Amino acid sequence: MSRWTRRSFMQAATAAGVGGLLLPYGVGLTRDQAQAQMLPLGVRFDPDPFPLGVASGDPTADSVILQTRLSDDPFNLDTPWGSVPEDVDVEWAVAADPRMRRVVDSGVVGSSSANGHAVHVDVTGLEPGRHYWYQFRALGASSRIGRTRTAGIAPLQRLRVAYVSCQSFPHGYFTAYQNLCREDIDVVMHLGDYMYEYAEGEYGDLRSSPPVAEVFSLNSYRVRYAAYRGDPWLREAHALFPFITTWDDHEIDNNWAGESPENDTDEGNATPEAYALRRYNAFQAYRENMPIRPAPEDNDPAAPAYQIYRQFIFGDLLDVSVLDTRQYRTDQPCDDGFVAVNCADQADPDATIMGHTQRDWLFGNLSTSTTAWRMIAQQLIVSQVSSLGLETVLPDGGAGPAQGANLYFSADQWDGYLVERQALMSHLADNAIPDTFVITGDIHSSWVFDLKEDFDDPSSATVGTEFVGTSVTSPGFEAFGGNEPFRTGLYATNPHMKYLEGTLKGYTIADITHDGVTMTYRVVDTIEENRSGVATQSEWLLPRGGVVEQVSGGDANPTPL
Amino acid sequence: MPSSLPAVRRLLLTLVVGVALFTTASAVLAQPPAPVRVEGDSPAEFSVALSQAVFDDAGGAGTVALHAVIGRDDDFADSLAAGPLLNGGPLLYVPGGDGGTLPDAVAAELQRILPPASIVHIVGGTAAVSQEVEDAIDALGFIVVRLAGEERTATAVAIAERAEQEMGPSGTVLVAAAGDWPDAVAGGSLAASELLPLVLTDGTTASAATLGYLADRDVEVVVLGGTAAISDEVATALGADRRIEGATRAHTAAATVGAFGDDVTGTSIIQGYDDDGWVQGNAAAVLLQPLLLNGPAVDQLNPPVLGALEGRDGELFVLGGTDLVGQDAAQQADDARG
Repeated sequence: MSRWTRRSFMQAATAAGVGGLLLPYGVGLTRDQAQAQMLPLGVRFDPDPFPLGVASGDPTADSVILQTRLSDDPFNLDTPWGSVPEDVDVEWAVAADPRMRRVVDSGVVGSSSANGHAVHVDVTGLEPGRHYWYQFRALGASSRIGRTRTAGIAPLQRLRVAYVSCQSFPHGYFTAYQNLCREDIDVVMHLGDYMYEYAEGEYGDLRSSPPVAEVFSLNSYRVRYAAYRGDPWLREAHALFPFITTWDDHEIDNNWAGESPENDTDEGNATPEAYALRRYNAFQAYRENMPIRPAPEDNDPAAPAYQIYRQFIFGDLLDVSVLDTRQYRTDQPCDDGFVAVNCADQADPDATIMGHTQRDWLFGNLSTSTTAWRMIAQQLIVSQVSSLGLETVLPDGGAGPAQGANLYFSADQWDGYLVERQALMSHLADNAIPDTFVITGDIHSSWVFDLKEDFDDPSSATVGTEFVGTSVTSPGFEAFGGNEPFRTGLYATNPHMKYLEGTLKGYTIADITHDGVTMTYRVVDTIEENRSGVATQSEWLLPRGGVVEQVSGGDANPTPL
Repeated sequence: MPSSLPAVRRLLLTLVVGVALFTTASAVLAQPPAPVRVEGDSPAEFSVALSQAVFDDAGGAGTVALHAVIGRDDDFADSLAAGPLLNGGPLLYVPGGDGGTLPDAVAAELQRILPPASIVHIVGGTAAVSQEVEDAIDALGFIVVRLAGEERTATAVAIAERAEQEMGPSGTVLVAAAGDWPDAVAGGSLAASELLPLVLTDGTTASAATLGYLADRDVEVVVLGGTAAISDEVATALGADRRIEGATRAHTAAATVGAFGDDVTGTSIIQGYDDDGWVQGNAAAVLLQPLLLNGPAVDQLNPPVLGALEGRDGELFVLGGTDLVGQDAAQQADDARG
């Protein structure tokens, strides 16, 4: 079998990328010089000491997390907080109005260089389903004002969720966020690959994201996050909407799998000790830069651990289980193959993508849920993706190593963990758990699937729906010439696959009511410029108790189930 | 966090942006803050001066803006309903019509008060505020959201819907006449302070856009003005629950005072009988306090204003030059508070 790896796929995508406008971020520059150099790349910071803006997240009916990070030199690898003193008292306030006249809660929280001068406040005692505004103040200055919204309680008639993923800064401008900021949204879910760890030029070359080298150390991760948050569109989106985030692979290392790094050749992966320290650093930096409630209390350089899988309830309407499919998984089977995958290890009963504890937690959530809808927010395609139809793409003409057997698109996806995937499908079927859908990132393209009790039996029950959202910037099938021949080939051998669009960038909106979920794929005109229009590429309706159908947009599978 | 204007900043304003501060030498701490006059030679200059009087630089320690609103400087209609958005930022005027350009002073003010990528609302279509203005604001790195309808009541609905998106739903909606500005500007200040949508209607026929907006909402409908402004038939058609009204426009404005929150102690005064009083009136909502309509006399306060000022010991803003609200009238207002 040809060993196509996902990394080779991505490097090919880079080679086919837009390129040509890279301005290298030099070392040894003053902050003003660095900022001047970054300005043409779409980077502008807020005033010090809040250059990275503000964010809110993890809303419940009575609480929300507020986050910021103090610095006056966010690209400084030695001290990413710049000249901010060792310990700082940071005032925070939450108000019922944008002018911050009617303050409902306030306080002071300490920040220190030990945690990168990151600040998290868990504001409690708020009213359900309403807007609040918030602000930080420190060192004689104030942050921009952020807006947030608590989760609604029953009876909740409507919820609008936007979801995004895969925002490679070097591949383009975050015009998806420019347009998302105009939308009427209650909460944004980020499904991972918020940042990319690569060295400059390794993956995308439209704009550079400091530091130059691949990130391993805690400070290098901090600087990389600062580059991403230097994008004003992203920063405004954080200021406007509460986010619920989970990581995928690139927040740590491409295709990492628990204690297994992608390779042992990169500096940060060279020894188990080095890789453990890298994960510790990445976990800590993730916490510092995301408005996330769980703290990495168990994170340790020798034994990194940070539980971020968690549940959110939106009244009687939606129950969300947010997964971490990286930290607890066993290593990818089939040498982490891509496009043409088939090996015995896919069916290893001990293989897991969630880990047993998380799996039991998820199954419990699904079994006990009483809301109208259940959403599983996670990283990788759950549905089976057979690549048998890709005769013109596969090196051996599509036959695969095992005649008559299936051939899968990616060992990194749930197709690499067949037993656990089947356990999830069976759990939904055996317990008659209704109205469940999955939202997925990772693959830089838009897909819609019926989730089947038995993916190899088209007549088996449909137990849910999967909506895969495209990337903010990261490259998809356009790097290989477009949707074809992939789309036609995949449609032919995956009748449960209802839609694939592999070339466009943007975000997806789930408009959820008790009657149905309307899923709208919004795509931008360009990521090669810092301004873009936006349009609806495709719209789908999942009726309560029914099966998803396309409402508008075309290009659906002509022979679906 | 404090949101009132520090006294020191007010003094600076006197020097920097030409805001005339007229305080008495005998002022003592127990007395209300000294009145502040804000004026400008053009609508754009006035709106910038008012914004400077309220908002610190982005990142500053004072009151900072969340967003901004852009309206045309030659017609009151489109910015009449902008009130609820002004809780988050100023209304800045630009030359109206499809040939309008972005004044340098307005561009500079947007850049002064707003962090990168902040939202700037434009009220009205491209015939009201040109595409060139929109492009210029976009080029500054802001996210432009244009709010427009086929006519002024539809534009007001678009603004109300955006306000609801920005601020959350409200249990009360204000309705004012679309054909004249006095009742609406007083309502705009109330809408800004209390985060209430403000929609407009024709006074003799309930406007379709407004009917459609209200039909989708289970809210208290409050009509601003008497039957001369909005007839009983229209009020009934809109499902009005009550009116805020008075014998004159000045009385109606004074009657809005009781609808403000108890924490709102300041007051604003404009010339309410000048044809162009809407320039000050629409923008005044950013002050988040009752707006009183003086006049028609320039140098003395009318009885409704005098009555409404009694006991109001917060900030007093006098908007417009002495040709609109005279120095004597301003002094009477200062005295009336105590």
